[in-house]
Amino acid sequence: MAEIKLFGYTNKLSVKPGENIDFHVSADGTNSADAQLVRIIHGDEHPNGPGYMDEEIESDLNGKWDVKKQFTQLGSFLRVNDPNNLLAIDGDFTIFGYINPSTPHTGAHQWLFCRWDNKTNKGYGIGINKDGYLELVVGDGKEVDYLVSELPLVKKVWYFVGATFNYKTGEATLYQEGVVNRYNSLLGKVVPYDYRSHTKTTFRFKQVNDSQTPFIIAGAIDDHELRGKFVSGTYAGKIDRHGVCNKVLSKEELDKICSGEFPDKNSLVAYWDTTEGHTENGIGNDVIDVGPNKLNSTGFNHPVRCMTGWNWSGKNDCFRLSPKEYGGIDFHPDAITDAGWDVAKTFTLPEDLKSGVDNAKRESTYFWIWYPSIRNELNKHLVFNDRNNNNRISFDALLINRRFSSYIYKYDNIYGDRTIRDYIRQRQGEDKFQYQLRLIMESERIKKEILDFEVDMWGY
Amino acid sequence: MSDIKQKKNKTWKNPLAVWGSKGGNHEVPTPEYKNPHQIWKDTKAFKVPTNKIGRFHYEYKSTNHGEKIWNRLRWWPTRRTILWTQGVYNRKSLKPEKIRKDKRPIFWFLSLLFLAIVPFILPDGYKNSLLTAGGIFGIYASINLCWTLVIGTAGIFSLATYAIVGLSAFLTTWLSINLGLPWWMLPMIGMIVGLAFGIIIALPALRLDGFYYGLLTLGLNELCRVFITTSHAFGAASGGLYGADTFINENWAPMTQTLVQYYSGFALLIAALFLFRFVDAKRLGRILKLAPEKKEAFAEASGVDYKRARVTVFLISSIALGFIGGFYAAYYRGSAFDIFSFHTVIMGLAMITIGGIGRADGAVAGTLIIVIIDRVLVELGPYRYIIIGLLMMFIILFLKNGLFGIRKQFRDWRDKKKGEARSTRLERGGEMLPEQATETDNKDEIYRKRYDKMQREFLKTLICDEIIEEHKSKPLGQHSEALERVLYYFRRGAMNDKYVVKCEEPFKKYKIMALSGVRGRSPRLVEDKIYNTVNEAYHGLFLRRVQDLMEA
Repeated sequence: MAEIKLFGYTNKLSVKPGENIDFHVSADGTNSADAQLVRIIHGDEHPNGPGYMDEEIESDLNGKWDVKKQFTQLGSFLRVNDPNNLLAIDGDFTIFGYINPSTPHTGAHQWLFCRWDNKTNKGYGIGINKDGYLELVVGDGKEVDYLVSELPLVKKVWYFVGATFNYKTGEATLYQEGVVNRYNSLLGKVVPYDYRSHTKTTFRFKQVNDSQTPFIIAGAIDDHELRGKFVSGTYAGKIDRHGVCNKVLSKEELDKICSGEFPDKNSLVAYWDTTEGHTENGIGNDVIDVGPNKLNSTGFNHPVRCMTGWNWSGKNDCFRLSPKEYGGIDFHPDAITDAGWDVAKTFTLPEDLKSGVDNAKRESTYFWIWYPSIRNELNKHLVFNDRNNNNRISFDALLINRRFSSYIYKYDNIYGDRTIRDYIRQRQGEDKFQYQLRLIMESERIKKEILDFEVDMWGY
Repeated sequence: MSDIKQKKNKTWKNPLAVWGSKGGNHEVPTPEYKNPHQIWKDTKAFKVPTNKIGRFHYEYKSTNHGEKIWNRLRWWPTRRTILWTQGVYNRKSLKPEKIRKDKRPIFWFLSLLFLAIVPFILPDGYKNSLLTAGGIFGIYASINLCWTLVIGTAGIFSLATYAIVGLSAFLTTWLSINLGLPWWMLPMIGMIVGLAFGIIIALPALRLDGFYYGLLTLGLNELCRVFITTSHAFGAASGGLYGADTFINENWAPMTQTLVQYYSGFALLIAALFLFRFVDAKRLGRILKLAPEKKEAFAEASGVDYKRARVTVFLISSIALGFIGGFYAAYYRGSAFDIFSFHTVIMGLAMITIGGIGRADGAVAGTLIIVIIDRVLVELGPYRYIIIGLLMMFIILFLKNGLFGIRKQFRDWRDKKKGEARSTRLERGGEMLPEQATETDNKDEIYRKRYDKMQREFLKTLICDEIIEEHKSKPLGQHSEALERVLYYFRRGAMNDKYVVKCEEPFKKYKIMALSGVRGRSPRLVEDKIYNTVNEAYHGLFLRRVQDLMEA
């Protein structure tokens, strides 16, 4: 019997009555779970307090839920929207792009540009092998053929990498050149690394393309019995402009692209210009294909855009000043924006459901304490601050400095002890939010009055 | 400043004395000259004794191709490159260089090339005897390679190898004499004989293990010997059965005959090496490497059908041994009873143990050594066997896996010694040793450790009863300077083995655990003691950290 584990999250942190909230639950070792909605009255279990208190609330959320094991896609990558499978190239191809790997020696394979399925071993692509060398891979579903570069990739250095494959003769080449200038990489030109590596061989096998596999940048399709298709082999580092051609480019042609020229348009299948689409406020998740087929790619798990690119000169410190130098996209193998689990239950909050805090009926005072009398006690106890463990202050200092947020709902004046709600009433036809805003404004007015009074006292 | 020469005399002469030394000294005794730069030199000097550390700086490494394209040639029907070569950056000079990850193919190629051309470089006087021995070496090495497949790869301790060869040789000779079969049929028929005999002796291997199976096969060997030597059909009277057809024509010049013998033995060796390579390093061999001795049950539970693989390897090598038997008959025109004798089995065993069981290079080199002692150094007489015995004795006593295991054994020994030597000098939380410094890529770590050590030394001086008492009375909050320094150091520590408080029941039960430092790996409990309040737990944890600091 496996250990039962339940994890879950909701799509919102806070909800108002009448709104929907989705619960996403993943379960290990079980496929059903009991749920009960409670209102927490007191959550602190300190023995000096009243202890943990809650009350159960009738709702249609309660009861047995069907739950299942859910998986989270980690790592950022780009998926190319290619409905006509133009990238399923059953012939000569050239893949090229600028890369800046941050951890090439992870001991795991990282994919750069590929149309590859790890389960069926079909497709083609280039990646970084587990020893940190650039690798071209083609597979026909049974056999995989590969070519490895001569020298390992140095971390955090801009490279131009490319691979060509001649479908007829099986000749494959790998192209790897460093495009280091004084500023763009971790190492400058003074470090005497020779980044160049050009290898070639004759493959025994040719690629066979699946129709379902998408072209992915910084990852490859994988399959799991329970999970289904997902992306694995995600890459850590930056990628700048990249593209695919349907012919074998010569070394001279690749040299030209490496130096920053636009590739030959006739053979181009896709060329993703990562600097295209810059606005004043940044850039979205879509990477624009400026080639003939407009095969834009979409980022998942938020690949970070507007990073310094391979041609960053070190002069312009913002993507607004020189968008063409900010083509870098940063990928992280552990990035996540949304776990994307299936919804286990959706709950619509009834209009009359009161929350724990804003419950009018519970606005009862426990006790009153005269502040000066407990200052000695307050001064002894430190405030727990999870943001800063070192600069500790006492509760007294916290209150004196007004380092808390508060909400005034009662005001002691000639009318006696009355709440704001008692004298500011909801007007006929007034919106609920409008009314609450007036309550808060009244509260702020009182706060300002107190502050003015305090300040005036010192104005001698 | 070595140009300043030290003065020998210990007298100071006034340089102005030529103008008169009124009121001054003309000459005074003085202490020996001391170089004023010496103190500067001493202060700057690197005092640690510097030994040559690092590895293999004398090994030749080729450089990279740079701009040129490196054509990675492959062995024709495979995806393997000619040599397993990898380009790396030299960690010190950052120069690109190529390392050969596996140098064995080079040694094999050179050795086999030497064997191929050796007939042309041998001195005439020894040529005949050496080449005859070379032919014998080829056949024995092939037999031993097949035997290595059985003992090493399949892990079946069979001693019936020579029985299969002998039986096949005798049967094919008999068939050749009586039916007039041509020489090229003999190895083919030998294969059938080998398969049949292999099946018979493979069956008990499924039920018997190790020593008992060895005894059984030795018994079979003896049975064959007794049967053949007493049987009239196999020439009980003449000490062997001869007269089979052969590929060596008697009308050729004697040297041509010897050369044909030598090269046919050599060809047989190459064929056996290919067989070994394709059985041991391919699917069958890999299956069997998953099921090493004494771990068969585990392998079986994991779905490895090792029994089938073992029997398959055994049958394949039996067929190969049968082939060699037929070849043997065609080579010598027959066979002597000698092949079944206990002496032959022991010699064969010596050959494979000397080189190292389970390795092709071990089997071939061991055969070479024994054949040289046994067949070339004939004039030593019976002392040869004493030499072989001593050699075996030495190898069994001092080496773990024969001559070719020396490399690994030496490395293990060296690493053990290195570890021992380091552990005597290393201290917990201490500085990095000079030789360790070359092994880390992050050189900041060297200084961090030095800094850490200095800080620990200082903090040790702060630990006293007062601060422990202070911490006990109030684990959190503002502390005295000394305690705060100690606590800062503790809190900043690395995540692996860092102590943490575990709340078993809020405000009632607390325990102390240590973090693993690896994401996803749970912390471990360090003690069973239960603290009733969180402050007690804080203090218990503090005391543990203090103890660790003081012990280091």
